Amino acid sequence: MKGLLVKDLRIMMTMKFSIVFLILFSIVNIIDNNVSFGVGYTLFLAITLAVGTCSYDKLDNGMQHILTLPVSRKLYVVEKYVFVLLASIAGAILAIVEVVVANAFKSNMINLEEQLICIIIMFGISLLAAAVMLPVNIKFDAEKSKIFRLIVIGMIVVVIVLLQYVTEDFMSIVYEITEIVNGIDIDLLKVGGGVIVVVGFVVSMFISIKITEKMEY
Amino acid sequence: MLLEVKGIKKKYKDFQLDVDLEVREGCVTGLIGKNGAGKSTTFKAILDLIKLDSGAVFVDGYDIKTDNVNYKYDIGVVLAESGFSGYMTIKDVVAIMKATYPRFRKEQFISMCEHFKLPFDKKIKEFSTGMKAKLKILTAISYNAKLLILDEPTAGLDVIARQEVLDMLRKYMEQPGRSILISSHISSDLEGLCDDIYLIDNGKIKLYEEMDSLLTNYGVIKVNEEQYVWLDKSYITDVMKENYGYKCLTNQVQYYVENCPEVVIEKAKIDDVIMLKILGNN
Repeated sequence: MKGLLVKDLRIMMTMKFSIVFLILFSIVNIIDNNVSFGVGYTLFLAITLAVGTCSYDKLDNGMQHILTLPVSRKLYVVEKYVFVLLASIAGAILAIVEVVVANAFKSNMINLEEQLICIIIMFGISLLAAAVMLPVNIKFDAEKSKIFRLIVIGMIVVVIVLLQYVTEDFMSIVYEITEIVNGIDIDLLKVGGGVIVVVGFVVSMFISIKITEKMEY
Repeated sequence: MLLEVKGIKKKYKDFQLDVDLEVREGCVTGLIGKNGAGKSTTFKAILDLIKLDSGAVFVDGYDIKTDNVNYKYDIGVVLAESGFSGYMTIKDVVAIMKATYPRFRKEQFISMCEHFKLPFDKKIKEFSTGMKAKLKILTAISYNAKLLILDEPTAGLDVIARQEVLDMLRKYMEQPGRSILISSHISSDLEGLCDDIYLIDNGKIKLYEEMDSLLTNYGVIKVNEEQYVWLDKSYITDVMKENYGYKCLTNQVQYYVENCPEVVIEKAKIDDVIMLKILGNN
């Protein structure tokens, strides 16, 4: 697995200038009062880059070569999930650093505790996003993965728009759901959220393993 | 036996692979055939890149299905259309190889890259075809693998680059206990390198022969229509119609040299064998 991790890290480092630029973009947003956006963007960037290594692996029949290394298909998948997790953790740490740096620029006007909670929540959401993206990226090539993502996002938008037209009291339903969530015990919410993220991530990994074991290269 | 391929079968829509082959320790075994014959498919089957309908592959006695990782430490692979990501540099390759193979010889690898003037900081996608081929071979031989599996390692190379690659392989074989399975459709590469060869056509092995025997005992007999009628066909394996008459392949060329001095007899090269085995009639 070490070799695969080194490979993926080296692939990400080929994009170092883009990464630096996008980090600066996040910091600017945080300084400009878009704290949540900047933090979320950093985490999303970390996940996207990590998941994107799947596409690099597929370039020029690269998977054929990778599978001739002393790795099994299962190990290849497990490594991807480990790499994404490590990238998310790095993204979260980076987001914290960005908030602290931005806070210094804004003379300590940012609520750090609140932003830390925001980072943790977004960390969980980004892992769930990766849990959806990884099997798709493993199964399909880069172009088809992009199309799949657009279709999924499009479907979500269509469902939300349709719900608004079909359901007269759409906003009151959203309000009710928000009230229910607000009423749940915060510790239960934390544990429940954590369980959902872990289960989602692990189930996604098993799905990806099954996909990879069936593929021919 | 360092590699045993036993009865592997794979059915596609318009093609069926059905192959048995062996690579002995200390030998260079060639796999030749025209484009689309099944060479790369055979290699993919050996490397577990495709699912087989039946059959088994053993590397150094280990079934790759039950031991599908450990055996890979002992094999070095060059695939015709695959390698490290083009976005990487040799420095990246060194880091990955060091982290992957415990037996990776970093200093020797770097020294060989310098010897072949391969740039360390340039992305692999910017390498010439010859540079890419050399890098693939150097990577495959950098961790003391027992068995090299090389799918068209000299494809697209000029004559000098080809010679350099073949010299690398000869040097690799100087150490005992090693073997190579190499595929190519450039028969002259194999004539000077291989101990034995398999000819594959349409997914099936058409011929297996030791190289010495092939180059010594096989011959091409060219006869006109009249000569063909009375020609002793006991040792004729394949025949092809030509404008002048017939071109015949024999595996007992000396018999015809002694008994049929009036016909045109030439020592067979691999190309002749391929042509007659594939295009001729049995």
